[in-house]
Amino acid sequence: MSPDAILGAVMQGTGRRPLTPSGPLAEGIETGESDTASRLMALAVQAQSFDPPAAPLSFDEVVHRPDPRPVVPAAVRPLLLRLVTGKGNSVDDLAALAVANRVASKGWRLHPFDLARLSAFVAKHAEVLGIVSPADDAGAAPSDYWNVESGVDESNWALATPAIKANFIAELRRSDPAKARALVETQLSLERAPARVRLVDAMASGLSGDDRAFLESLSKDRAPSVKQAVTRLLARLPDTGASQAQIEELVSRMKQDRVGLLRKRTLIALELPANLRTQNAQDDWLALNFGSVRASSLAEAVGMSVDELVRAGRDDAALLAGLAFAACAERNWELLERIASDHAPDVWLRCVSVGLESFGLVSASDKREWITAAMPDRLRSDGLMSHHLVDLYRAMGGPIPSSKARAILKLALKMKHDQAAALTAAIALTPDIEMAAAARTLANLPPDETLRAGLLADILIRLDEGHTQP
Amino acid sequence: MGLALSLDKIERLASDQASLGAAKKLLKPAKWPLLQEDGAGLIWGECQGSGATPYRVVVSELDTGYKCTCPSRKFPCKHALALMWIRADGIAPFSSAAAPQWVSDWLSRRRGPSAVTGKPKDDAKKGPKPSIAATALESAPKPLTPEDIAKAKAQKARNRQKREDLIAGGIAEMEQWIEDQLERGLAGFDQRCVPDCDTLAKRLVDAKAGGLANRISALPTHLFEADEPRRPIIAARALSKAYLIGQAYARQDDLPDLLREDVRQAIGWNVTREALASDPSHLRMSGQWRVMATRDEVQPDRLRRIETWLESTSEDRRKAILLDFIPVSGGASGTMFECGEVLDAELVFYPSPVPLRAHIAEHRGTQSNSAPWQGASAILHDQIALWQNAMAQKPWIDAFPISASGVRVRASGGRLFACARDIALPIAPSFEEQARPLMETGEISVFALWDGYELTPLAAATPLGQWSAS
Repeated sequence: MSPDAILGAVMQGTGRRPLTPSGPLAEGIETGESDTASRLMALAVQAQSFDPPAAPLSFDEVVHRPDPRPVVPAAVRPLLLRLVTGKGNSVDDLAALAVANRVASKGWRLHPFDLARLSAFVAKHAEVLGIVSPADDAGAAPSDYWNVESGVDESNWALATPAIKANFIAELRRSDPAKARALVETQLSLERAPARVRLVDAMASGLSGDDRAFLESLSKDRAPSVKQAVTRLLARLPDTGASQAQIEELVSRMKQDRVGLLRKRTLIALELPANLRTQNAQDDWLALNFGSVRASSLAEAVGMSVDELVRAGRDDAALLAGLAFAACAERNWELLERIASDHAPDVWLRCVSVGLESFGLVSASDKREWITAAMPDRLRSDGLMSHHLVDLYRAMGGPIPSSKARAILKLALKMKHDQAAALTAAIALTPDIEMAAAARTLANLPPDETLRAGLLADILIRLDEGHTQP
Repeated sequence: MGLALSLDKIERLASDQASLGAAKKLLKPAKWPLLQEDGAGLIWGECQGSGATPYRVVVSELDTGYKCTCPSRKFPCKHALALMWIRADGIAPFSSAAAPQWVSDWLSRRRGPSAVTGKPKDDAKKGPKPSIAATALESAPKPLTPEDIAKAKAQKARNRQKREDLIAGGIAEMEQWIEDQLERGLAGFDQRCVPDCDTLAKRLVDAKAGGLANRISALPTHLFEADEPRRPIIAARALSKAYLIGQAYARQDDLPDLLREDVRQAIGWNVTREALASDPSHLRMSGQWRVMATRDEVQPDRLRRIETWLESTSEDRRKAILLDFIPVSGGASGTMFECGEVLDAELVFYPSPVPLRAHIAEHRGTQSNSAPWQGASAILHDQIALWQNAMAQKPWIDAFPISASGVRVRASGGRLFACARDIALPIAPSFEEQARPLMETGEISVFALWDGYELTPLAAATPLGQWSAS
């Protein structure tokens, strides 16, 4: 009997297929012994294990997709595993997002050996990290980000992640709006709705009447979010009827009054629609209406200069917020800074709550200019919660200028509630140049509050100083 | 070569992040009125807790063994972690001193590796440590007469014979059980294995054949880890080994000495570490041993089995395994050694025709920041021949360590294979996901376990750096 025959019999049961010892394996084994089957099985298993396993007739051809990005520094690997694996360590909190963003922005890629252990982190941030998820690996070209090299240009931008694409278009719009529009025009139909919204928002830079035809062609997009973004841009186009009607609507809601005994001064209050009960609803309305008009046009309509309008509205938080939103949309950083520093230091919070993309602030440079203008260097801590800082990081998608980051860290250190989250957000917002000092500050705090923030700082420091692996 | 306590190791030892956080709070030298060392790998200290009496903590740097007088149910507790941390980071100096009584007491009770310390050597000169029974006899007023000693020996022989009889009965029962299973057929064995194996394992425990009982009780777990179609053949292999061990035990008088010793261990006769270390006839090898991999699993008897695979750095690249068993209820986790460490040690091997399991007889130091594994010099073909030779000498061998160079990991039909020339060894399905990145690295050197059917890769030297199975 061959080993296969013996094993076949014991699989089916020797009650059904009795084993009759025969052949070389059965030497010395008699039928009817109490352990005949066991002995034959042991010999068959032993014989089989000595045979080398049969090699497959052919192997799959592995398609190597070269990724030119360097692997993250060796020192980062264990820290990253500690941050996002293991009990209680989230893969989608701010620390994980900050690491993903910084790995991507510095042009690193994760070590291939870590991908299995980091699978949850990779799945959550695949788009940011530029990694094809295993499910997409079967050849879904639209999500294949592997071939994007560190320098994105017109030839390869379409292969980049949605965030990089939007940033590229926004930057290109500053120098050559027509070329950027042409690129978007060819690519837009291949993108999914969230990416289409990003690209449309990115066109806010350098918006002009030349974009009208293209934007109007997009106003019939299937996705409501795209339609909304297109409507926002159309309303912002200069010399449009929509913009003029918007100004008239806003002026009709402004109530002027003159106060003062010796020197009369004008005060303006904005009457918001009565159905807007929450601040979020009010901010959304203000962003929608003020975001599509120019502050100068509005001031002209009420017979004032922009400065006079701001002064007249200094007691009306809604009007100031609206003017700040208008300044954001038209990238009037001077006006925004004046409003923030003189009258409404918390206006950055309201912008973040509405969403910077509502004002077409997509590119990193736009966001940098925005925060420089919108956030005073000295922040007020009253009413500020850790989630505000988290929202700020999510809006910025990366570090902020040093002076602002220092102010945020100072604020986070004073927070009594959920300080751990605030410190993590502060570290995520800190630029590389400030990171060592921030890490030293954390080292002096109780470890309970700083474990995750400290680990994040360690990772970001090492990502900055990192050396590539072979 | 120093004695290595690293932050990585401390982190792996910690049962959770909170323990590390709590330990961090104890890093201030002011909390430690006493910090001392014996200069040979033993450190101890007193940590001021909330009570009047400080907690006494002792740590062996050789194997990260520890003891603390605090009532914490976390192992290691925050005090032990903090002491290790202070040592690893050099936060405070340790004064040299002879071990106080409480440290000596702990040292004499534990079974860790002996270090090159003055104290144990002095003890060794005094002869073997008296047993508890001997101590009891010493304290008895009446001195032992030759008759008493003869009586004790006779009692011991009777006990031994009684156990032999019990084991013989247990083996007979197991053989009958296997024969019954084969009669019913192994194709449906997985449907009934849980209660059947449980019943037999209990009987084997009653029969004092603990080793066989463990094999049988672990069988259902191994079966259910595999795909359904592979379960019958896995059962056949496991039952064959159990049958062979039983048969070999029944005929142990005819076996060569080493094989007899091996089969007795497989049945459940323990060789204590003290007995192993004191018997000069056992194989001893001194040198540098690289920690190639560590694995741990919880056995059905609620013991955590920790495997540490070692490879000699000398020409012969001899392999060894250290086995440690820790009660799960103790809460301790992690392994004593870290992959990549190089131990300067003398190993004494448990008697076997294929000596693999070893115990550290003398530990002279650990080098934690050694150069990475440079890979193997042997080829896969020769390593398989070594395994066949081992299998011929010890037919119930489970996992055999091999290290081979020039190996490529390739895929075929959804499975992964370790290929070299005309050999293609299937990789264990449970390790395929982790081994998948090795497909893109080209030729590698691999350290793996081979059981005749599947290869379990544990470490690899690749062009992308060191790979380790988690």
